[in-house]
Amino acid sequence: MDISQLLESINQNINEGIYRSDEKGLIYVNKAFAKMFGYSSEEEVLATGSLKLYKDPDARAELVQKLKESGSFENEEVILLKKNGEEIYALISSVIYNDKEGNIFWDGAIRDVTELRATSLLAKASDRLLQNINKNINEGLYRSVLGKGVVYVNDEFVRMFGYNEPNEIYNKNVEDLYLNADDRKNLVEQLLEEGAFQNKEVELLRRDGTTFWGYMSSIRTVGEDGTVYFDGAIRDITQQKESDEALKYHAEMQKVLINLSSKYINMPVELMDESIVGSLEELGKFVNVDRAYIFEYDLNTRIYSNTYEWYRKGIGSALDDSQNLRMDDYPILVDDHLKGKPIFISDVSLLEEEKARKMLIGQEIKSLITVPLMEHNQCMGFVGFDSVKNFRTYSEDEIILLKVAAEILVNILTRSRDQKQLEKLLVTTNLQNKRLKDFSYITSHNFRSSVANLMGLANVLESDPTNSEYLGMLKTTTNKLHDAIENINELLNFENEISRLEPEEINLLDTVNGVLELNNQIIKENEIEIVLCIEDNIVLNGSSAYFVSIFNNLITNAIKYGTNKKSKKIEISAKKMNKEILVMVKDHGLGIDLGRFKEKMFKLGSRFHSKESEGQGMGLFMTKQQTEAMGGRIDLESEINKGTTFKLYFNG
Amino acid sequence: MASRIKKILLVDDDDIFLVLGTITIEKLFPEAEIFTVPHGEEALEFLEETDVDIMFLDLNMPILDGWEVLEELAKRERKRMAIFVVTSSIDPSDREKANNNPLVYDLIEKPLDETNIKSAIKKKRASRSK
Repeated sequence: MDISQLLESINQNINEGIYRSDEKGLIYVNKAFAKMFGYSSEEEVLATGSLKLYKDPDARAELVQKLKESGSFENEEVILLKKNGEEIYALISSVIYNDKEGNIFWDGAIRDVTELRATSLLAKASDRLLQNINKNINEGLYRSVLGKGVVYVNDEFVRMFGYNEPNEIYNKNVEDLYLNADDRKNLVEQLLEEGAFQNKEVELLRRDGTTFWGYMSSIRTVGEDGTVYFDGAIRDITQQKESDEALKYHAEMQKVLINLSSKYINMPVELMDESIVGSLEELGKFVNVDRAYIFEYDLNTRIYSNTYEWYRKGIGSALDDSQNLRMDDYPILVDDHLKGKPIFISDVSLLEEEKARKMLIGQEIKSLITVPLMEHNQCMGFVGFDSVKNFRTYSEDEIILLKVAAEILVNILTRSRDQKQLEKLLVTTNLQNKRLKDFSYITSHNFRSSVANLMGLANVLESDPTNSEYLGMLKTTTNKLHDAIENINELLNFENEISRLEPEEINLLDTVNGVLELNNQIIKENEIEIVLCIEDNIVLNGSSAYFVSIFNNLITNAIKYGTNKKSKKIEISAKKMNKEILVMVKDHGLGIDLGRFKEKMFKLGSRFHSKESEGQGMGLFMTKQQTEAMGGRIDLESEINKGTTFKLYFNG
Repeated sequence: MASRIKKILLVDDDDIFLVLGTITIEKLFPEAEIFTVPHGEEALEFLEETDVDIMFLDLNMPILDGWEVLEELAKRERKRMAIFVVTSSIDPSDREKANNNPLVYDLIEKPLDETNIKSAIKKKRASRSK
């Protein structure tokens, strides 16, 4: 084997620069040496001389000194210069020799590490960068291995999930980091199929069991050995999500309020009641309760009632149970409203006032909030919200919403109330107009028929002045005319008084006795038997003049039309009913065929008895008007040949 | 023509009107027989038995008023008869109802004197001859 050929071959093929040198300079360099320094040939290098190859002219002397002292050195870092002046970072190793003649020379090898050094510097820098990023970044970074779990997490990841050490995470089942294990499964599937996913919203689980929302992005990478890695980042968006939700909530809230305030513009009053219930539904659903309702206070009588209600399917209505409640029975549910404050009861069963507690538990309420409806500093009622299924607390925002809603509702309710009053007034006015018109026709009819008779009588008396029959007729007719005028006065007074009726307390027995006194003479003349059955403590509310007129009319009617030779008994009785007082005037006369005449009974101008022609069709009409003006009602029962009973119902 | 009028019915609840009306009608139709009844129901009963040539019918009466009498008569088969409604009403709806009711010849406003009766009859003839 030719060793020298092998050496030569190595020399020529190696990447390291090989050289031999003595005190005077380079004696031999290989091809790689020349190439490393940018020379065209070994000879060119040898001709240039070794000193020019060092950046620092003293470096060579230092290395030679080192060689002489220790005989060799290894991987000394030196900066060399190429022919074109470029620097080479090099590692030099060298050994010194003495030959037989005592000459000193040394052999060495140079490795160009310029590139290597650059890379390693870069690597060091990026290491530091990574560390910095890791410390300061807000994203949790991780690498996990399919089938193996998490193999790397950064500090933020550890913090985010509430751990102390990355190792705690490496030892965990990955799925335990998710609230829903299925989320992880789906994400892995997507990674395997598509190679990546971005900004997935996932609910994650902290070490202490609390959850947070994270935005996750990840890519799949495959290592050289075929291992599948999932590298990803997680951003905690809980706060962002909360503020998003708050924003959404506020937008929704605005919508509810805008609906509430705009819906009623130009709405006809007959649609308003239904719409108010619709608005309660919208509010109730928005604050997620089971019942929403409006109560209205009557501060004069201190009575309050539920006037509008919405309730969820499956939840019972409380409306019927909430009518005509006494404000004084439930101070805890009422008093704060009068001061303009909302009332919140977080747990109804803890209420100390027994009456209120029993009532609310009876309606299956767990929690409730009620907000007063204030009209110019006066409380007209409240809007309330029941929670039946769950306990409920209210945030400040929600209470503000309810207060604003209450203000809008006040507007709607007062508008609806005013409009209703207006329409009621219109109906009353129209009725009054119609009544006046009817009345004017009837009175003119009554006048004209009397006047017509007078004219006729004047004619016949002219030709027969002493006819006593005609003279009698003249007297009857003038009396009738007088009655017609009296009637007009009464009716006009009634129309005047109806609008400014000041109710007073009237003792019924005294009033009826007074009327009997007025008719004393006619009762005696006709031998009428009056049976009076009224307790002396019955009190009616209304106008004294009306009561006198009503009873006078019914009693004189009973005397005129309800008595005859066989039956002379009239019974007047009264009894207290549930909420009303019933007064009855009963006769045992001929009776009336109600099948035919009931509708006409109370009509202006209706008459039922032909012989007694003094009737002008005013009496029962007036009686009904006066009774109704005082909030009462009138009815009658009658049987032919048995008698007639008039029944008056008045508020007790 | 007066001789053709044999029976006349006067319906009114006002006794005095009946007396005065009878006097007036006797003068206009001296040969006619005059009957009076105090309200609508008796008028219908009377007409069941007796045909009349003219009926003077008051509107405002107890028990059965003039309009109800006309409603009932419309359902019946009966001999041709001239019906004048007589009233002291000034309600325009009464005048309108009278004009629209095919049974009614005319509406006469009280008092029922010779002039009023004559002009009503004249008016009816005039409209019929057209």
